[in-house]
Amino acid sequence: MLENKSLEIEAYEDSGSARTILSVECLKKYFESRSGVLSRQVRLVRAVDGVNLRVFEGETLGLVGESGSGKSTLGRVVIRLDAPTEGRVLFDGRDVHRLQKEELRSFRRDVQIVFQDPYASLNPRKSAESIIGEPLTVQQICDRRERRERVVRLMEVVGLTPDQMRRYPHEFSGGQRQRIGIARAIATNPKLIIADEPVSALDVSVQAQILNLLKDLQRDYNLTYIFISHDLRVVENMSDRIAVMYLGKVVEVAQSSALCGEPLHPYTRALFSALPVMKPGERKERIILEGDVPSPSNPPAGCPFHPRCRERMKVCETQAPALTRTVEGRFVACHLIGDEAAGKGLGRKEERGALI
Amino acid sequence: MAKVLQVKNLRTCFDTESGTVRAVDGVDLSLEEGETLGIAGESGCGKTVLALSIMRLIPSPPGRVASGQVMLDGVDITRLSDEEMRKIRGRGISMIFQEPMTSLNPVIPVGEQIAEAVRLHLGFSRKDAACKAVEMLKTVGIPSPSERVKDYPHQMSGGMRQRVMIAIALSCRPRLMLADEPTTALDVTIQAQILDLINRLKEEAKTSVVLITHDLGVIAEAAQKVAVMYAGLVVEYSSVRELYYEPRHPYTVGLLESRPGPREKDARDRHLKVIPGTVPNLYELPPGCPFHNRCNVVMDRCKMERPEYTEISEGHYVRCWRINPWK
Repeated sequence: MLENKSLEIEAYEDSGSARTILSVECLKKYFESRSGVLSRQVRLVRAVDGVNLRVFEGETLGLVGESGSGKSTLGRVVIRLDAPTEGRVLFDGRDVHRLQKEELRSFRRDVQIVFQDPYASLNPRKSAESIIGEPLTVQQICDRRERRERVVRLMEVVGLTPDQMRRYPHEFSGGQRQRIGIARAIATNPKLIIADEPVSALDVSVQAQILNLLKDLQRDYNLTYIFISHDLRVVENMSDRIAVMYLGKVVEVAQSSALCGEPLHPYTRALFSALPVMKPGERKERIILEGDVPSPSNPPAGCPFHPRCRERMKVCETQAPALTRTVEGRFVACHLIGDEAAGKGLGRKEERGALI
Repeated sequence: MAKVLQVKNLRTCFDTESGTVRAVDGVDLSLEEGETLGIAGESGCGKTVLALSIMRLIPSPPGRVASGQVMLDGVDITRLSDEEMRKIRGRGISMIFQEPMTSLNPVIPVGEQIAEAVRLHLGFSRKDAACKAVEMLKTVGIPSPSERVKDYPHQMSGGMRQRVMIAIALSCRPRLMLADEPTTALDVTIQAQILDLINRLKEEAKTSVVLITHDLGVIAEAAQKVAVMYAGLVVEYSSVRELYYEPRHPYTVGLLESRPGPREKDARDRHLKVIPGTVPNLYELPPGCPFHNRCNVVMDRCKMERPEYTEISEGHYVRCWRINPWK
C-alpha cells in the first residue's frame, strides 16, 4: 500500500504538485445484509472495496460509475456520514474518523455536501432562510442579526432573490431548491464540497445553470469539489481529474482530457462508447456490454469487471488487477494495460503484484 | 409509405380545483410504418400525457381528450368504444412505461404477465402462451429464459425488468409501440443494450415506435423523426438530421447547446450555454408564446399572440414568430 502511495505522489508531482487536501487510503466500507429478519445468514455488501485516491486543493475530482459502484458511499464515508470498515480518510493530514470535539466541529465547517435530490434533502417545514442559516447558527459563526444579512448575501450569490427568504421548499422549483442546497453548503465557507449527483434530478435546461453556478463558486471561493455523477459528459465538463468506479473499486484515474480522449480500461471504454452522441447519421463503433452490473454482495472473483469484459484473459478470472501507473502517468487497474506498461519497462509483474 | 399514426390537433385537459390545465394543447404529428418518432421535452411539457392520450389511458375525470383525432391506420381511435379500444391495445398499440418496477405486477411471475397479454389479445391457449412467454424472454435477451419465466419482478435487475416490459409490449407484434422514457431509470451501459434491442425488434416486426425521452442524445441515436414539446405544444418537428444540424426554434437551439458535448476545448473553464428561467407551470402560462419569457430573441408579438405551427421547409415545422414573420 505504501509503495502504491509513493507511486501516486510521483505521478502527480509531474503535474504541478498541488497541495493534497484529502487523501483516501485503502478505504473499505462493507454493509451487512440479512436475507430475512430472522435469518442468521449475513452477507457482506462490499460497497467500497479498497479505494486509494487523493484530491488536490482547488481541483474538481470527478467520480463516475453506474448505480452500485460505490461512488455515493465513498462520498458519505469521506464526509463522515458513515464510518469506514477499514482504511482511513485524511483531510488536511488528519484522520477524519478520529476527529473529536473542536476538531470535528471545524471539519464539519470545512467539508460540506450537496445532495442529489433537492426535493428530499430540504426540510419541508423550514423556510429558505432557516435552511440556509442553520449551519451559521450550529457553527456559531454569527449572531441572529448578522445571520439574516449573511443569508441575504448567500441567496444573492446562488442566484435567488432575498424576498424569497420566507418561502418554503415546496414553493420553489427543482433548480431553485438545488440553489438553496448549494447556499446552505457554502454558508460555512467550506474548503471541500462533495456534490453527489447535484444535477441528476433537474431538467436539462436547468442543469446547465446549476453547473455554471458551481463553476463560479469554485472560482470565487477557491473551492475543491468531489463531483459525483453517473453522467460522463457532465463529469467531463466539470472535472480536472476523473476516477472511474466499478463495483466498489477505482478502475481508472486520469486527467479529465486524457481519460475522455483516450479511455484505457475496457470498462471506461465501454462507458464512453455507450454514450449517445447528438449527431444523427454518424454511426460509431459501439461496445455493447453484456449482462448487468453484478451485485456488490457477491462480486465476481478476480477482476470485478471480467464477466462483462470482452478482452478478459485467464488471469482476470482469478487475480484482481492492482491500480497501476501507466506510462502516461495515469492509473489503470487492468491486466491488459499492466502487461503493456510492463512491456514499456514499468516494473516487473511480481513487483506490481506486491502492490495490491 | 403508409401513415401508421396521425395525430391531429389533439388537446387533453385536466379539470382541477385550481382550474383547467391544458397539458396537451393542439398537437399534430404523423408517423410512417417502421419509423421511430422521438418526442423530446422537459418535465411537464406534456409528452407523457400525449402518449397516454394516444393509448386512451387518461384517467377521466379529471382528464379528458377535449378535441382532435388520433388516427391509427386511418381509424380515429378517439371515437371507439371502450370495448373496441381494448382490442386495439396490445395488437394495435402497446406501451412501455418508464418505471418497470411499478408497472409490472409484483405478485405475478413475469412469464405469467407476458402470457396474459398473448392470451387476451391473440387468443392463445394457456400452454401456447406459456411457450410464447419463454420465447419472448429469449428474444429480449434474458439468459436461461425457461427458468426466469418463473421469477417475480423483484428478483430481476432494473435492466431485466425493462426487458420484460418490452417483451410484453412486443409479444403481440403491435403496429405501434409507445415507449415512455424506457431507459431513463437505467445505467448507460444498460441503456445502450435496451436501445439496441428496441431498434432490432422494431426492424424485425416492422413496428413503428414513439420514443419519449428528455434525452436528446437517445433520440439522435434511435429515431428518424423528432418532435420537441414545450408547455403542451410541439414547437418543432422535423427529421432527426435536420433538427440536430439545423435547429430553428430558440428552445430547441437552447436545449441542444446546454448539454455539455464531448471533448470541448477549455470546457472546464468555460460556462455552459443556458436557457434562463425554469420550465413554466401549466397553471400560470404566460400569454402569447409559452416560451417567450425565456427566449433570447423575443419580440413584442410573441408576448401577445401564440405562434402558428408552420411548415418552413418540407417536413420541417416550427412554432415561432421569428421564423415565419410573414404570417
